[in-house]
Amino acid sequence: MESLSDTVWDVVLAGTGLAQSLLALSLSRSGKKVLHVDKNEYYGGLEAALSLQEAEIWAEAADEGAGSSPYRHATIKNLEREAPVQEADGALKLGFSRAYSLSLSPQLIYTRSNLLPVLVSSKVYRQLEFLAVGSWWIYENKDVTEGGQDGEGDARQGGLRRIPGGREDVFADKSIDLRSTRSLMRFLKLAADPETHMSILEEWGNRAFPDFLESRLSIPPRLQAPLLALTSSPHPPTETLTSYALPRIHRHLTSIGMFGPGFGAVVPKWGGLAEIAQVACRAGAVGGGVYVLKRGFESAEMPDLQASGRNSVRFDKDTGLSTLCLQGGEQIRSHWVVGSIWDLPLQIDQNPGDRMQTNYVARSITIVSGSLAQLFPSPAEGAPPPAGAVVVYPTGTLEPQSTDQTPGSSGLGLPPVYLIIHSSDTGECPAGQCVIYACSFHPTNADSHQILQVAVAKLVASVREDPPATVLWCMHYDQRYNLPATTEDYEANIRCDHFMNDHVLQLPDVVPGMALEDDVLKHVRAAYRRIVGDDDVAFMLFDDREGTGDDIDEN
Amino acid sequence: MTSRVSTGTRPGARFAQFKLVLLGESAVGKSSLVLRFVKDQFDDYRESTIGAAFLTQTISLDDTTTVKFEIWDTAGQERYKSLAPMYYRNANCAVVVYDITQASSLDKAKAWVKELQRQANENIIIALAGNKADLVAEHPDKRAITTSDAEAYAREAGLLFFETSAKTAENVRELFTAIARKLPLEQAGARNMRSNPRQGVDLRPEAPGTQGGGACNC
Ligand SMILES: Nc1nc2c(ncn2[C@@H]2O[C@H](COP(=O)(O)OP(=O)(O)OP(=O)(O)O)[C@@H](O)[C@H]2O)c(=O)[nH]1
Ligand SMILES: [Mg+2]
Repeated sequence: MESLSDTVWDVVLAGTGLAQSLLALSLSRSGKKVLHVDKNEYYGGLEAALSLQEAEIWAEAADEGAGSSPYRHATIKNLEREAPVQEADGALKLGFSRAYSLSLSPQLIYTRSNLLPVLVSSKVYRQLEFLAVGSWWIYENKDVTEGGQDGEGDARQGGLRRIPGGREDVFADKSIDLRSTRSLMRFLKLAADPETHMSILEEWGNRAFPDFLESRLSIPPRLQAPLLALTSSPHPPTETLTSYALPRIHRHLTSIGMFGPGFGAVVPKWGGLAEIAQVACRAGAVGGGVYVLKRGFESAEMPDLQASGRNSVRFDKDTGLSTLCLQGGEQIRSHWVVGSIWDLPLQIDQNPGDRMQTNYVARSITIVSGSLAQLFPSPAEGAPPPAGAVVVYPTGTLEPQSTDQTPGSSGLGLPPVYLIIHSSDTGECPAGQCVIYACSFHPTNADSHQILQVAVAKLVASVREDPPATVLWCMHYDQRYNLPATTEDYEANIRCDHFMNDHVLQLPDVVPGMALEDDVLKHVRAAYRRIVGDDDVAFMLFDDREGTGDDIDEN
Repeated sequence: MTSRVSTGTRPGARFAQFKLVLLGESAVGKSSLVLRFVKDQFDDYRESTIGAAFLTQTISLDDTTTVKFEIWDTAGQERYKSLAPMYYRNANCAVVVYDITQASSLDKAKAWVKELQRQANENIIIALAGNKADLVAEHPDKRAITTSDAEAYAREAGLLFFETSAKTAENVRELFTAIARKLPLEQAGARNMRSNPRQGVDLRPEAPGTQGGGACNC
């Protein structure tokens, strides 16, 4: 049989994360010889979805994987063993390991995301299912809730308050007085109209968003919190600039209603972005791509490479070929090498600092018994039943009340904590349970895991459920992420300066925020353009393959 | 929990879509079985599959029940063995194929069954197909694996079992129909019920008459 080293590859893709997989999809009809490798024994890279058993193994590796993965401090707690199981009801207990598909990338995808049209035009949407993300909730401390004029913000609601999904909701919300309603309406109108943004940002862009809301629109602080929540800002309000906030609120508002009433974002079924990555790889394989798991590259850290003084990627100017060494010693040759920094053969720690900003985000995944149905009301008539919900804990809602000595808080407060809740309709857990994904951009604080835990506990406690919802299992970890070098120059972002070889490209990581950002696909397209040449009109524009058309209308 | 079996326009009509993966050693006839099932054709000189192939076929179980298979035909060559996990992930059913004239191909099939039972969905439905039955009809001495041996193994491992011929079409339709009948059409709560996404969101804004698509924004 032909070995991998006998072929001269056009493209070697390193890692099967979302970005590399989308690139594989984009190349699947190009006729190019593609080798797609992953050092892990599973697909998905940083966007993988895991069973309980896989999560155990993953956490062990993540905990010690400094330098070769962006993770640290991964711990798992199985709380089911501690709680006595009273009844035979299966939902009260952890299910089988493979009944779970826990997503390392539960990001929601706005209906205006640039990814969705590409999934349609490349025809892979036929193998995907998307579910609606319904309500956004904000957590309000008791004093605030009770201070409100509505009778709803009572103990039963436990301080959760639904963020109005649009104009109708604002009008319907009896807790907002008439003057504020008018201010809010003015804001919603302005936020939805990008033409006005330019002049606003000129004046307010570099100033804090609450400042803009208050000074320019007289929106009182209580009503600012929900608007801030919609920005998904990683920072506390005082550090959230209007230039950051306004475009995001615009995206949120204009996404609602695009694919149906009442929702503006979707999640893929069966494990978040992992499912999209896999479907893209499948298309890559159908296009003739060769896939090899458990095979990364020998990196420069490997002693034998260092001893021989060789670079981990050798480039031959005459042939234009790069030579790399796969784990196990096989040498492969390729015109292009594309991967994430975690998959390319480079030493991570010498890399950041120069062009990239390094940050950590604290994350957790929690399995709870109970369907938390209260979080998933139908957002509008005729809306598809939501399978996702968002709960935001604004700055100030989780801080220890009196003793404010948290390092780094310096009076600004902790960054908000974001929770994305997936119901069992996502296929990520058995019926009658939910998965809560939490994140906060405040990892320098050793207590960040604690804060996420408190946020989840408060949510679970605030939801009425019979029997009461309980936490069955949770995993905490930190994830390092690198913001791309620039915000606009995608060509520059995919350059890999580490090698004196411009045929090696790096695809920046998916930023572990609330929503999938458009830059992922823009980087993929930039890489595609480098590989196939400037003519990229056919990018992701495919016909159905023979024998796979929609031969029957499911209606 | 939502039902993923949709009711169609006709009263009482049901439609469900399932993901099916074919596994087995190279040259046992996986692609040939699919070609027979989907297009009712056979090709004496078929090229070995590169990577994987994707096809769909719809069958009617009765007047009101339609099942659509989303079929992933994988390459059997060793070089492609890493592919299998991405195809059996969330698969509802699998057809593991061996060649009844090649003893070693059953060993490979057993290894696939083991991997599926360890890694795929808990309640995946697995069928074992002993292919190239036509060859032993002409030359009985060519048979390397007896029907009763394979049957005994299939029973023990909880598999559906058929001896098939992609060449003569023997048992090919029967194989897929038996799988369709065993799939949890009624049991809407089944996790791996990957069927028509009626509860989901249609991404095609122009999609006619479907919920979500192109709905009014007012
Ligand atoms: N006589 C006979 N030949 C068959 C039958 N099925 C397949 N073949 C032949 O066996 C050879 C291999 O068939 P394929 O369908 O390509 O086998 P495959 O399992 O898809 O092989 P890979 O793609 O390499 O994994 C071809 O020459 C077919 O014509 C059968 O039922 N009877
Ligand atoms: Mg084949």
